[in-house]
Amino acid sequence: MANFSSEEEMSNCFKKILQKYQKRFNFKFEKEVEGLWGVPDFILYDENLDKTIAIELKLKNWGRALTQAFKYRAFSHCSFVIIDKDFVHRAKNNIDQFIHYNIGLASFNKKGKIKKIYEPQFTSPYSKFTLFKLRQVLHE
Amino acid sequence: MKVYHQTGFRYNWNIESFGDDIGDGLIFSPVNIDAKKLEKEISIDIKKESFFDPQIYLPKNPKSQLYTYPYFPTNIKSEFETQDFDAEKYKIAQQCMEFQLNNEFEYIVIPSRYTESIPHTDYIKSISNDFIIPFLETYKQSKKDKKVLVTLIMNESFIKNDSYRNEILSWVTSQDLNGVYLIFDYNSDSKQIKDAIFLSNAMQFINELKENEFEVHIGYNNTEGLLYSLANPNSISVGSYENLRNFQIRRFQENEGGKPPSPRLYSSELLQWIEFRYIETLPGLFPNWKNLFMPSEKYLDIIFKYLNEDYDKKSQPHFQKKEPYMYYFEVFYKQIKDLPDDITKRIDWVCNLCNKAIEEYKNITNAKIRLDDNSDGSHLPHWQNAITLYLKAKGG
Repeated sequence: MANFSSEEEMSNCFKKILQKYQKRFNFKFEKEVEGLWGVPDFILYDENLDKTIAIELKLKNWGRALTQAFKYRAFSHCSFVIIDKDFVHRAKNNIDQFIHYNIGLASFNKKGKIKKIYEPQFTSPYSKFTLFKLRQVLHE
Repeated sequence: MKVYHQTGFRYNWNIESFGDDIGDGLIFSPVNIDAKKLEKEISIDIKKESFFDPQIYLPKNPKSQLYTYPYFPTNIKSEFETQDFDAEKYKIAQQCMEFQLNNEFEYIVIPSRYTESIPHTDYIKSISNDFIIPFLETYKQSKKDKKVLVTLIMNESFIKNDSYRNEILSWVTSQDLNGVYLIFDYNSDSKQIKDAIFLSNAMQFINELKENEFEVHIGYNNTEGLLYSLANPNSISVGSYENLRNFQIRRFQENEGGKPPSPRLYSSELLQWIEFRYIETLPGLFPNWKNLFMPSEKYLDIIFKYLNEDYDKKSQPHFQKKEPYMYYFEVFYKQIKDLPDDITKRIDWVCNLCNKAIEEYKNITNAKIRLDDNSDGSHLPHWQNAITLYLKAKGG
């Protein structure tokens, strides 16, 4: 039985956490940004877009989430997969995959607790065009 | 083995490519070109090396330019219904035959209806009664000397069921025809056919037709045309957009719609169309990335310019830009023409291409690039299994 009943519930809960911390850590965020490559559940960014973090939330399918999160590295400096706490053990069993592709992994539960499992390195986005699109979307 | 351009909305790209000596002819698509335009503006020299797909797949539905063709059933009788075939089939045959003869196409193609989920016996009956009998009778009266093909749509259940497949084979080879325009109708969410049994049985079907001295011209194939080549068909096809590399009946229905596809580029080394955004990752992570793409005289440099600093929208790849498709026509045609004539050597050749592609995919994984299942090599083990199953079925 999943901690969350749906990805929508998970997303709404995650949004509340971001709202709680955004002033303290001075970042902005957008939910479900379209027109890039895939639709990241959230993008966290600073004013100048010098640091952007893309986030893929999933209840359980870590493999699909990893593939999606790799795409987000096209326009972000860091990409994370966040999985329901009750199902994250499967992703943890494959942590070498996350390390190999430099994708972060964390678990998340209904109480709003985020537990970081792997923190990736920040790297330059690999698609200039998609980064350009991101700037357009976020500055509109 | 010949390669025909499967034409669509952008048939000018195919004509241009054919003008560059790429491809051995075209398969004309009346849904995409006005009848008068095809008659007056396309040269007879091109038509003599090409054939025409009459596209009476949905006889009540003259989508787009199909209504400009006098043979189309709704032009023979307004508000045409399926049961009207009995009364009108000779008129349809007469007009359709006349159109093909007047345009001097290489073959006469007998059309076929598209029927979803019907028993194979009904499919056979429908093609025989509505098309083959009236067309062949009309053809005999014309006293012309052209080869005649029948359009045969083989769906997944026809191909996978040995008994159905054999019955269709027995029936079609008993007809007074020179061959088939063979279309595999395989529906999947994936952009490649990842089904070794389907692929192997399709190859067996091609081979059995050939053993019965039928010509086999395969339409709407994607890169699995390389695999079909092992059964030695007379031709396979190259197409630009995805709906020309995978038969989809919705192409002949009114509301095709849907989300535009992502731009992709064919890699001759990976035997796959790679989503363009992935190619942007390659220069930084995979030093020998250019070796994945067979050199091209005209198009590769233009495509690679997309990777340059200029990220103005106009210079970016888009699925409607012609260069990736022109490049595919050139490279895939070359791959087909490089195949050995001897079938045993050809099998080794294609197996070797698969093995090399799988190795390159391993190198890409090692370079820390994670491809999704429409750009990765997950179709290749199915190809390898299909070859093994096909050879086993042949007793090899």
